[in-house]
Amino acid sequence: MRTCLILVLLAAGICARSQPQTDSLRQAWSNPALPDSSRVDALDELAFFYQERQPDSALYFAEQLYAFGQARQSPRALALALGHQGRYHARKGDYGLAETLYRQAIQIWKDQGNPRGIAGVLGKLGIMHYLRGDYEQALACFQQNLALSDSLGMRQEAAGMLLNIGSIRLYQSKYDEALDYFVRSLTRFEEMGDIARQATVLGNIGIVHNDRGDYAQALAYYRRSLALHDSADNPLGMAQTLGNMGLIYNYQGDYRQALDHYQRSIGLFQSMDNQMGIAINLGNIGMIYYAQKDYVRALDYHQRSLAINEKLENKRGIAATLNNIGDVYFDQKDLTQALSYYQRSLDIHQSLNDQSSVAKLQQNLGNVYRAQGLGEKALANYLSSLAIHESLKDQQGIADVATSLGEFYHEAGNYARASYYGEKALPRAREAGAVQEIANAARLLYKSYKSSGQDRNALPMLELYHQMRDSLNSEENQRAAIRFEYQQQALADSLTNAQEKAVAQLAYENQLRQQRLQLAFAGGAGLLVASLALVLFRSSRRRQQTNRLLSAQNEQIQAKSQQNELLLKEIHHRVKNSLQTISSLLYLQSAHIKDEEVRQAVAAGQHRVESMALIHQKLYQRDTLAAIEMKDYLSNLATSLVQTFAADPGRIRVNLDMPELELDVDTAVPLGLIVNELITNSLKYAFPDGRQGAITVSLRQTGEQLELLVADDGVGSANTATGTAFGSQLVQLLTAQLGGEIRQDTTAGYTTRLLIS
Amino acid sequence: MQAAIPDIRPLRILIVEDEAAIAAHLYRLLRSWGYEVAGTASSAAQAMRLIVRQAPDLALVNVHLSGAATGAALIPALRARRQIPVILLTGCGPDELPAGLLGQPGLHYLPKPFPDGLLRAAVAQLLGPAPPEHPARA
Repeated sequence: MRTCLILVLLAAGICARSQPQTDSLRQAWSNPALPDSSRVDALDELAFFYQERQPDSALYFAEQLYAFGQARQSPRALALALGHQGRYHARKGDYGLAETLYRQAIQIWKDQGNPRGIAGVLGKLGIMHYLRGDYEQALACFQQNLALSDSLGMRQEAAGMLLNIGSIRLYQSKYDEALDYFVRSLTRFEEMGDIARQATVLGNIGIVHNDRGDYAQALAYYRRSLALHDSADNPLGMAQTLGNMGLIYNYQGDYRQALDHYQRSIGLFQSMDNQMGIAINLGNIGMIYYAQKDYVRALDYHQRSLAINEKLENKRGIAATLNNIGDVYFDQKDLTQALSYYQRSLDIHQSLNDQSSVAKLQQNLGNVYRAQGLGEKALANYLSSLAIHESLKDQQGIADVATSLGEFYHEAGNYARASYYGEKALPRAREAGAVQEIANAARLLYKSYKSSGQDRNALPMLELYHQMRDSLNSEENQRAAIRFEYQQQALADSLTNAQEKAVAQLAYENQLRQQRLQLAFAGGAGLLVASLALVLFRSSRRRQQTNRLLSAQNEQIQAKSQQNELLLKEIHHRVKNSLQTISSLLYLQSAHIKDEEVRQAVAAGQHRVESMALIHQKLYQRDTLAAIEMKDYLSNLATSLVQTFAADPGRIRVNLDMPELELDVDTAVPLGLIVNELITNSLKYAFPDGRQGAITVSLRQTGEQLELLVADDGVGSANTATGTAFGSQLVQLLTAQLGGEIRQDTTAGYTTRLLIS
Repeated sequence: MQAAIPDIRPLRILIVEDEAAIAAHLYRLLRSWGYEVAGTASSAAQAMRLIVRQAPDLALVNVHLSGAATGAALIPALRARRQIPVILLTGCGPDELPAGLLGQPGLHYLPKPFPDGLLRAAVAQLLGPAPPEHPARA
């Protein structure tokens, strides 16, 4: 039922560029002797350089560029500045403002008749749409850019757009299309000898395989990507790829390898002052500790990640981390804190118009309200979440929230609604191949069916639940958890060191920034062209992983299931033999008792055990372990009692006037005991002095009502002795247990009618 | 109503059961219903000797005896000698029994745990009622 948002990093363009000499750029910009175009280029480059590392510095240079453009009447400087300002605001999540700025930039480039400029802004606009989660708009921008770039012979830009389109297709889970675009861009980058971008594309192909759950292929592509990033001396790409590899090890439950890769990734991000990358890795490490239920460490890492995201004003990162912290508090039952963190996360996601995350957060809030007993608020949040998931056609999301709704209704005692939502969730969870969701839906359905008396439907759900749960708690995961324990301390220590370094790095960076602002008027020259590429550093969807998990664990489950079946049979044998022995012991004991009253009491006890034992005899002869066919059972019970009590069994007939009827064991056992008492009574007292007669037994179900009738045509009211006090007390007790009502009639023979609704 | 008594001599029943309490229970039950007990065996080998010496009219056989031979192995010996009818006592479901065991004439399957009355009905079905002069209870 827990929903985790995993951080996604999108880095534009950096990987293709070598580290510029920022000092010489600052000198170039500050040198009035240089032509304006060179000074504009230098400012443009400085703004570009700082956009990820120091967004405020980037904005500062963009504003310098804009002021310079106004002072020198340079439309090019204005358009470039607007582009950088748009980038800054898009990054902060102010998409409306960003789009306005981008549109202004595009208009200037149009007025200037500069298609290259238009293409550049279209690429940025596309990335903004991507950030906003509007993939179709993003695709449109990238396609327009691609058409322009191809017609202008901008081969590098065009190849970058192929990469971006592939990346969007990847996000849309259109894997074949994504692969097609990636391969096309890879060919172009190979022709251009662009090693760095080849590495990026290979990394993205790795992500496709990761999403499809083919971890071996994914790791192979990640390794190729890593080697190329290394030879291209691109620490950012290496850091991202190492992070992605860490995620795979995490999914596979190899927490040691996962932490090792996260740690290497952090080290590289630190060497580049990339706080975003550090924040993501800290969050991922927090998730590992969360999975291990080490809440203290989980919270510590999430808080560190949050601090960095807040410093970077990275709204998505902040929102995701707030949710992750909410999860930690929720699991610890600190509902007030959980509520506060979820609410903050929801507010940010709403401002970003990230519908999928809004839906997940509403579900998390619903969970908190449900735990607090605030039914109406819980329901409102769940229903709103369900509506969003349905509009997004997110099967797994629908399954998840429908199960929560079902649990909600089950707690409220509305089993029909609970079953309804369970039946909505299960097929969708199956379609999504999500093991955890299947297990949750199956457990809900089991409870709902059981509570509403549909035992025959309940049992398969219980079996499904256990199968899914076993596949989740596979032995490999348990082994990994043990390995993890050993590695935990050492890694925590080294990561603390890494974090200290990060803090020192930040301090150093601030110092540099001061110096740079002072040096901003020194002279120099530099030129670099902005290009766009998406680098995806992200977790894959559980859907594809779990598909693979399912098929790989299927055999294991089957073997285990066969083993369980054998064990179950063995237990059944023992239960049946023990019941037989109990009956034998009671019989032997009664045979040794001299006092007739006491002997009869013990013998009656033996017969009560027999009536229950007979249920077990019937139970295990069938495939279903939950239901008993009552006609067969009552026929055997009545025959046995007649044989036991009648000195001449042929004298008393038994009429079984009923159709076949299946009941669950919880009802069958008390009913059997009641019939045992009633028939015993008739046999003992209704037919004195060799009188012949019949006993009629009938059990019928009409709608929700069960009617039991036990009648004899014996002496009736003339029979004053109506069994032992204990016998009739037992009938009253068991009738009450079944929620029934008893009526007796002694006008003709002795008739007992039992109504259970 | 009453079936004809086929023989004056008391009907003799062999008990093959290795669970002592259950064997004692069966012994007393059969006697209380007016039958003779031809012997109680706790292993297949012991049962085989009793089959030869006592020539029982019916055998109650626990299919799963501890030891080398199972109760099921006795069935051919019992059936070969005068077609001795058998009541198989077992904690197994019908599908767990050796193939071909069920469905033979003179073979009655009585799953454990069974109430005393059902055993009485099965015995009476295979042998007819016990001679009436015996006491009703042990």
